[in-house]
Amino acid sequence: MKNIIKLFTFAALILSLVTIFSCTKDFEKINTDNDNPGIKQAAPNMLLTGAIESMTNRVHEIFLGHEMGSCWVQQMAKIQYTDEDRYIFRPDVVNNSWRSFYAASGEDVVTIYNIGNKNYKGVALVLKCYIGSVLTDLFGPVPYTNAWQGAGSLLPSYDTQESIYRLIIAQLDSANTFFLDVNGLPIAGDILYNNNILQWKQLANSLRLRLLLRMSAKDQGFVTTEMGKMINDPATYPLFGSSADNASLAYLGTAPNNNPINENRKTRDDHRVSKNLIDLLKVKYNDYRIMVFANPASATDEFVGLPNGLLSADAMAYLGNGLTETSKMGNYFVQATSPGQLMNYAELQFILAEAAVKGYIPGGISQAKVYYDAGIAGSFDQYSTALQDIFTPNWGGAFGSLPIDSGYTVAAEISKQIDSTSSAAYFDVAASNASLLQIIAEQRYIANFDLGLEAWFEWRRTGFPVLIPAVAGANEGKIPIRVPYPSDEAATNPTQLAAGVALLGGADGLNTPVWWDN
Amino acid sequence: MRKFTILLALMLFIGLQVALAQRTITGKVTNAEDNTSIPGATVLVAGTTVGAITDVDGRYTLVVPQDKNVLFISFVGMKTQSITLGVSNIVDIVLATETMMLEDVVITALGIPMEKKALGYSVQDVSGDDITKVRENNVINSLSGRIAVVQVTNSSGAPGASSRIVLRGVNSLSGNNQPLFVVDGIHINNTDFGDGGLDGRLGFGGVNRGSAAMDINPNDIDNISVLKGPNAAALYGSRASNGVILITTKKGYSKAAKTKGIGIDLSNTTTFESPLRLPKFQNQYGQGSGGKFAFVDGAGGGTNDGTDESWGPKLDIGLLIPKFDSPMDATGKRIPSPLVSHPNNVKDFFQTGVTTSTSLSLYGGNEKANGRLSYTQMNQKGIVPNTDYASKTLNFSLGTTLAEKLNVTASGSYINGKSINQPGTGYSGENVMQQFTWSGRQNDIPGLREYVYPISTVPSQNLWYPAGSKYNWNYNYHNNPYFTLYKNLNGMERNRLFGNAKILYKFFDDLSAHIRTGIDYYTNFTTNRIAAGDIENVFGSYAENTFTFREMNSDFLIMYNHDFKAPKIGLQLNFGGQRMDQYTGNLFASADELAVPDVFNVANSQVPIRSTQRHTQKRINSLYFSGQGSWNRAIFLDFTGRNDWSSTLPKGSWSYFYPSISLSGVITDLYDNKSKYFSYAKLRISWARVGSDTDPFSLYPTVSFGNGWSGSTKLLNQFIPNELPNPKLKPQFTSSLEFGGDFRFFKNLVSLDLTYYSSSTTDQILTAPVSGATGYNTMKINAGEITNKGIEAQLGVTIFKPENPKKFGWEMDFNFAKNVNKVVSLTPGVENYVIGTDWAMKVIAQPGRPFGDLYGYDYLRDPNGNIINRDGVPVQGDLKVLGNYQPDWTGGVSGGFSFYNFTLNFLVDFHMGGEIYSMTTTWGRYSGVLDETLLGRDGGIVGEGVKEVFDANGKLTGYVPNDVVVTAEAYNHAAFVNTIQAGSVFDASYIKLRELRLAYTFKFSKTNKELTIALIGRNLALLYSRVPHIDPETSFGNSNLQGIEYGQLPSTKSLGFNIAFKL
Repeated sequence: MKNIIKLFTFAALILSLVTIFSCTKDFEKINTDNDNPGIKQAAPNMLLTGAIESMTNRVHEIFLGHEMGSCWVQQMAKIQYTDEDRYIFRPDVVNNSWRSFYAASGEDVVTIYNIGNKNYKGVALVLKCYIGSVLTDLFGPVPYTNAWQGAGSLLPSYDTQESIYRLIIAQLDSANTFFLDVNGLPIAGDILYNNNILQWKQLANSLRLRLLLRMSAKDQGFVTTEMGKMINDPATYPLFGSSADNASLAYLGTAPNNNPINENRKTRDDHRVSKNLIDLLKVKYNDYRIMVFANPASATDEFVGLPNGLLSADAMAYLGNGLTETSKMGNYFVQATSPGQLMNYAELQFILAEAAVKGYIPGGISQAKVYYDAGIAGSFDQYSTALQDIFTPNWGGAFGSLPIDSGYTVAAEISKQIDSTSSAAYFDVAASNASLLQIIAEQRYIANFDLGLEAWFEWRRTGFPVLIPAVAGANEGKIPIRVPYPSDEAATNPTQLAAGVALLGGADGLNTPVWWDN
Repeated sequence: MRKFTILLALMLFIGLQVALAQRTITGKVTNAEDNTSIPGATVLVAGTTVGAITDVDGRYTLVVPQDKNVLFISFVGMKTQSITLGVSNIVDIVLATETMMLEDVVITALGIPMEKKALGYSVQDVSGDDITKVRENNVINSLSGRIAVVQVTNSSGAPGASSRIVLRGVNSLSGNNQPLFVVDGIHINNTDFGDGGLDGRLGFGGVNRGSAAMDINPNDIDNISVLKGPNAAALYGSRASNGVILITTKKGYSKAAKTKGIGIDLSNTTTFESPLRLPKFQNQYGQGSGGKFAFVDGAGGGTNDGTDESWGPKLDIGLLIPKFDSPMDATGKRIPSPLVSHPNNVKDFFQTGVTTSTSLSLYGGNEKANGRLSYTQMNQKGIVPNTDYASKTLNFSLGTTLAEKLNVTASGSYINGKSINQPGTGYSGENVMQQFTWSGRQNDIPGLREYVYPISTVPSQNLWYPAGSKYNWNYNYHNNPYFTLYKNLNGMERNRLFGNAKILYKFFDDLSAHIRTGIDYYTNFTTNRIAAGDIENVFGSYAENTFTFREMNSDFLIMYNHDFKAPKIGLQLNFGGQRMDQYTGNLFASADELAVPDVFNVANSQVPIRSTQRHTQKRINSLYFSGQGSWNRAIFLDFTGRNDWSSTLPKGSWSYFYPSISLSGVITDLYDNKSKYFSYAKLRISWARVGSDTDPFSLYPTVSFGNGWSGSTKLLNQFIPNELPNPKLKPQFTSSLEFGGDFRFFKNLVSLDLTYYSSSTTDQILTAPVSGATGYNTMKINAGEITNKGIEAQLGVTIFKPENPKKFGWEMDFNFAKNVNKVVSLTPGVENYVIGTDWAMKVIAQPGRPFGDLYGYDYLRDPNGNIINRDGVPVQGDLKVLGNYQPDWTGGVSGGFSFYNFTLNFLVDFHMGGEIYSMTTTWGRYSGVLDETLLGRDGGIVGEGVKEVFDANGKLTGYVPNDVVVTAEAYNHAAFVNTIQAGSVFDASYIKLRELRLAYTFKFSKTNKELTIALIGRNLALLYSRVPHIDPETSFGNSNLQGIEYGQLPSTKSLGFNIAFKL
């Protein structure tokens, strides 16, 4: 009897335990992450802050922007560990760049577009177009219409560069439309333009002109129509008005919000200014922006550039001791607050000058000269403080090998650079179109110093300035005109990648031209 | 009084029986070993329920029905005996201690002890004695070579580093494939605490902080059972799909030990460690490039003095060259001095490591109550200067029978593990091995011990090199290695408590139940200091990371166990349930630049403080049953079933059920045909399935906080995480079939255990890399199938069985395991699963191939496979599979010799096949420090392979043998770089002399007291290896990213002694 009672009690105990054990009542609560907001609480302003920083950091990332961009286009050169300068790049850099543009800044931008008000949508679209254009200009065909679909499309298909260009041109037009009321719905978190919608609108249209010009060899008619429409209606299509409108991220003084080059220089001393740029500035243009771009070599106090793509041993032994005999990048660019440029007013003016010379927009050569002069002035304006900071303490002496007369001004330097003499080095309205186009291309190249990727894209299109391939280059004696697809894509998306390579119409290598370059 | 009650009961019992009796048997039951009487033994008439229990003097009286004549006499811990009655009515019985039985009992799932012969699956066990004989600080390492199919990878020789253990191959693509650790029935967490550098990957720098299993103190272990496949583990639930390491701790009382009074064990193990293997460096050429070098400022101011490569001038030929440690003149300029080699500069950098472990335990008790208390202190001084690890463990165990049928037990451990500094690993300046790979070979490394300049007696020199300023051989890339080790400290402290309490109640003889609750709770606190003046961060930095883990498991179990005597059918049924609650909390904060130098406080930050926070929780509720039916104690049928409800899965998929079934038969017990040669044979077959859940918070997307934009006002930023969650996840399942046999020959002198298994894991929950163009880098998915098929064999041979301790005894054990792993499929769309990437080498899984392919760039080759040289050097070729990190087979040979009181044991470990990528070779060749780079230093190198031939139009027409001479520097720079991996992929096979022990035991006659002194050695020699420069047994942690090495902190060989008193 006692045992039966015991057994009964026990059975009751077990039954209650079973009930407790099988209970799933709190499961959803238990499996909720309380440390992070849900996706519905995503804030467009906070996403925007991160997206702008992330995208700008990537454009200026050392391995991508500084080495595959600036070194390949010979604004900079490497003096130690010269592999990248010899076109031997690190596969991981390509993987990381691809993932960063798509999954980091890209996905944030797409989310802003999905949840933000009209002005956020416009901003998001401009950033998405910027990212898309950099990706396609690096690789050629890339996923664009089918990208950013998450689980909706795990194997994104590749679009031809032509279709991407046409879509981006259209999307930038939509962005301009989203910005109809520049004083309307406010945005926040904008570290590029401090929430100024008009400036975003100017960037949308300026960027559109950049990309129209880049595709101009492929569809001159379309480009002429679109450019004409924009130039003739500046009220609808406002452009950068001065270098104050530059799309340029003002980095902060401390990590992690400092300029990537500043971060790199804390521990590395691998880079020097390229001999190509130094010679262009010093010999051909006698241009004092050299003082901002470069420091005099520590051993000689002269501006000396380093030839690109030497073997490490040869680079370090250049002129005896390469490290002390060549010019480092100017102090202005290695400081923490050195701006992260995306597009500047000067470049826009050179775009317009080229378009005018080619007849895509009205005004002919004389109008081209106006644009050209504005470009020169804009670029000097951009560096006026930095230049004046160098001139002033050096008055009456020599800065590097360049004498600085007391009282020398930025304005005087500008007028020197735009002086329409018959010198082959300056814009001479009487000169041939070909030589004018070279001058414009070279000045755009100079104005885009530290915008390595853009300078390299434009060099691929125009062929100017004339570059000599890396001394010990590893690419059949050629300067790369493309970046091979990331190995990550070969691992995760191989079928679509193969289709992408087919769209490219050539080998997945460094020497296959993209559509606009064909 | 109690005696009287028993007597009364007995008399009553006897009285009742008398009426029906035919024959009265009396006798005494004694213990064979010491002739003491055994009270409470059961004497049963076979085929009836008639029985008696012996009294305090071991006496019994029993009335036996007329037609019966067999008695069964049993007592816990003694061998059951059956006696056929003869004419005498006085039957004295001598019971033997169940020693054989004890050896053959293994603890199985849920803590149920089972006869080994009754198991339908493969279980192997190791006794605590074996583990502490040659004590390893990390208990995982003790299993290597001892148990078939166990693959152990010691990660490094650093104090407190983790080890990876895998049983029967890799099942899961994204889990870490580590088995579940269970101590006294309670799950013990085995988190890897490594703090990685970039992306948390240790390959890119960071510190190996060990893993949680190392907290289990070897001295407290009574027994380890390794339940290898899911068959054995079906009852332990999800986490057991990779097998279970079941640990039983020592108790205060065991029949085997038979302690009288209070027992005291005192032991000390002291070992001395030195590097097992260091890279083979060249000693003929010094720092520099192109044969030139002269030191001015160590940062490029002199001739190649900023470089950290050894392509400089020839050493030991009388050259006078300024070096970092040359004497200086009054202006601080280095005066040229003889350029001589320092062949032992790396070897001398290391110090002799010392590990001491002292353990004291007190124990005592009897059948009713027992207790054990032990304290172990372990101190480890690393071979890398100023690195250490120390742990203190307090362990207790209590057991008592409160009332007749109520038994209460409890055990627990408190562990404090602490390190002042653990060395950095991987591709990082914090890893001192890095600067031996990137270095000037002539540098006197031990001469850098004083890492700052002292006040000079030449006053003008103090202007150039002020006292306290940095002193090093290079000022471009490296810290002084002693600065790194003495100033940049990676500290840690872990406080842990785990234990359990259990109440067992015996309702009837055949029905009992227990309830139990256990906890595993710890806080792992780590710090990273970078001192002011560090080459990469002049301000210095400080970070703290606190990880808190808590898991509570509460369970109940009802056990029914009945033996039907007549048809000899045994039945065992168990039903139970468990609730598991797990919590983790993590807070990380970092001051990336310190405002006041060397004050290590996160608040002392001149840049915004970086912090992350993460808390997770998860619950699994379970109900389960198991049972066994046996016939004649020869045929056994086992079955289990378990249903889990996991909070980590989506609603609707919370619940999942998984069963197992096994059948085994002891053939030799079925037919009484034990031959002289064939003593024992058992066959077994089993099938099981185990379900698994996933990590918390894997279902729905959230937004993460970034570092923010810290201008005059801080703008907080958010970002969309790069992992795409999945609200449609399902549980994943592993099913496994195994069969095998256990055979013994020549009166058990030879034993052979064979197992074949085949398992398959489907619907894997994995974090699959996806194309970045999706907007995400990875996604949680259910996909894929991995199979493992393998055989394991264990052969034990007693070559000389000593008749008495004075004779020579010799035993050998061999074990062998071969596992064939195959990734059958991945998800549609994921054609390669990237397990991980370090540098440009990817470790991937792809369908049709085994898990863990090393996927990297080959050299460019002609159609015949010859390396193509362009301008005399190899160039990058195809991205392809260059190897696989899984071994073809593993094994071990162990032996034991005994003679008088001497014993000699050894253990040799085999790990054959598989490949490893050694970045030490890549960079060591690039930088010219390795021995191989001497080739062609004078006169250059003609690279092996071919070169292309072009016609006048530049068209490739064919290949001819390469004949272009290039310098050794140019060749190594081209052939061994980040962009080509093929040159540094090696066969990872190795054979290691893992253990050696020579012991002498003094026995103090007539007591149990003894003193054992032993000379011990661990990891003594790499008997065979095809990888140059490094110990092929290496990893950066216990994740699936294996087969990649860089800047290995050398593993250690240790020699020492062990003294153990039993008082």
